[in-house]
Amino acid sequence: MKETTEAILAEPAHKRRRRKLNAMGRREAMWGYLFIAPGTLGVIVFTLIPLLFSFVMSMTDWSMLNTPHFLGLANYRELFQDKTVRREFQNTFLYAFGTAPIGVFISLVLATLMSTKIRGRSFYRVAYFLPYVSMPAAITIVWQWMLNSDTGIVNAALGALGFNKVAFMSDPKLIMPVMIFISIWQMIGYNMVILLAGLQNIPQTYFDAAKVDGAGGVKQFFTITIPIVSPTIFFLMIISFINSFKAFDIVYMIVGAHAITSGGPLANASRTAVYGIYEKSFIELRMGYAAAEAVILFLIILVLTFVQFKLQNRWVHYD
Amino acid sequence: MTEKLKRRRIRPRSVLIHAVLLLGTVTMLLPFLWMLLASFKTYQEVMHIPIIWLPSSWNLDNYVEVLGNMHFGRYFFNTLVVTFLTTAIQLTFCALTAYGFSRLRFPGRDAIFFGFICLLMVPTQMLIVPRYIMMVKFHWLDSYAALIIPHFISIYGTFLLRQYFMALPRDLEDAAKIDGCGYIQIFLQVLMPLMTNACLALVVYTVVFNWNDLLWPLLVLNSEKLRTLAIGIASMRDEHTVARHLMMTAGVISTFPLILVFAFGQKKLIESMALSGIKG
Repeated sequence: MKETTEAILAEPAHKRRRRKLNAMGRREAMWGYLFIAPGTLGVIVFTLIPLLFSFVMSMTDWSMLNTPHFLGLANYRELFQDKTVRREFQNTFLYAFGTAPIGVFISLVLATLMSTKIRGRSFYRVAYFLPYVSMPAAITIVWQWMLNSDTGIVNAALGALGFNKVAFMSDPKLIMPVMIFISIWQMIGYNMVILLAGLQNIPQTYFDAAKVDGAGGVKQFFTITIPIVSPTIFFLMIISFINSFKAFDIVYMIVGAHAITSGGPLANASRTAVYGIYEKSFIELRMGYAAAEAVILFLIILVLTFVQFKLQNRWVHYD
Repeated sequence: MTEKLKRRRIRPRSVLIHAVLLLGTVTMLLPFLWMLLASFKTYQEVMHIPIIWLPSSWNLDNYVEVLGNMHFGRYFFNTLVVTFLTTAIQLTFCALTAYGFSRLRFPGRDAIFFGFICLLMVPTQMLIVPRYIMMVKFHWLDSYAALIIPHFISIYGTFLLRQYFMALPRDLEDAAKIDGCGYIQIFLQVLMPLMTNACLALVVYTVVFNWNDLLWPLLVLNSEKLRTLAIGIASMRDEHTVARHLMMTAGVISTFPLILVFAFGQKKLIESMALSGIKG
């Protein structure tokens, strides 16, 4: 590089070529800016500015109808003492802690079963994947009916087996497990597709060696499969956690029908942070307060995403 | 002899595996089947105790009612238009931006891209309040502009496509440049044809998200005639009066299009979904 620079300085012919290169470079730069301009503008307008605005708004009492007053950290102080908000975050954590580990574990077991040479693999793969692309609002309605205590088929099946009816959809104690179940049901196919890719990278010789040592299927699962796909497992856990923190649709479909009684026990047991932000801003018109809750949620997701980024290079399936 | 023994020994295990997987399959597919059956039943049949499994007649009365009188035909069309436009526009701008960030050199490029990466962590759910206010100020409320324009660029999509652009060999462009191709020509005719897998991954992700999204349309749309399927379903739920067999019919209309697309295009689509799995 240094050599060429000297050569260019020494010889006029090269000097001309350098000027030409510069012109080309300028042209390339101009096109570069042109290509990224619309996208960059979009990101500034629809992500960066709203983000900064959230922080500012979270320190005001804005309702969209009044002139906002600066409150400092008062919203945050209120937030930490607000029982409803505490419940929203408790529910969100409960939902995330229920969904992520159980969902990933079930997916791993199923993916392991599927990775053995069995027939109908691609059939199974599609069947398990379909819930993932289906509309959460619609499937919540179906599950609501299927789990209904009077007309639901799940209770009919329980009754046929001689069990008592279970009020899955109206018992506040059961609504969270039901939400976790529906969410796991939706996520399994996606987790499985990614795990299957990871499982295919395990050399068959590992299992053969284990078999010679007399290890059974369960032992192989815990001593070979889990350790080798552990980066994928961890990745999926973080992804599931982050997605669970954004839960809204299921809650809206469950609570929305009880909008009048949104302080009721069923709503209290199922409301999540994003639902709380929705309710505070668009029903109670406390934009500033809702923004403060959004900032807290953001900080939690930020930490989780940071962990994910740190671990991304350990994720095997990037080929 | 040994061959036979081996086969016999393997059998009970694979029967067990199939039993577990089939049980799971039933759990996965039962809601769709139940929804489909209910969409052919009458009000009396869905409310009947004990449960009636099969509809007495397979007619399309419920579909006529839901698509016509309950306007789901319109919602379906709206959802299709919004999903198509959002996906097409987003793919275009993500590809343009990703190309700029990956194949062209200019001052400040890496700094700007680093800014993108930082903002990749911001969940859109957190931004609903300021974005809503923005829609009010722009007078975009209750129009498709509010659904489409804020999504015209996706940071994640740009990031995904950039990774793929980076992996393409540089010689391709050099050869095209010698032939006198401009940057737009290189982008469209040389590089984009090699990006089909990456684009498919982004398209699948965007289509699934936009087709199913409830929160944002719920906030920015008021008019009945602009409703998407997800809002249609949610408002059925709120109205209390809508009978169950009609809700299930609406559910079939909302979920089956994507389900059928995935069931038939499964291999390629599902694999591309796995590739787009870095979404945070």
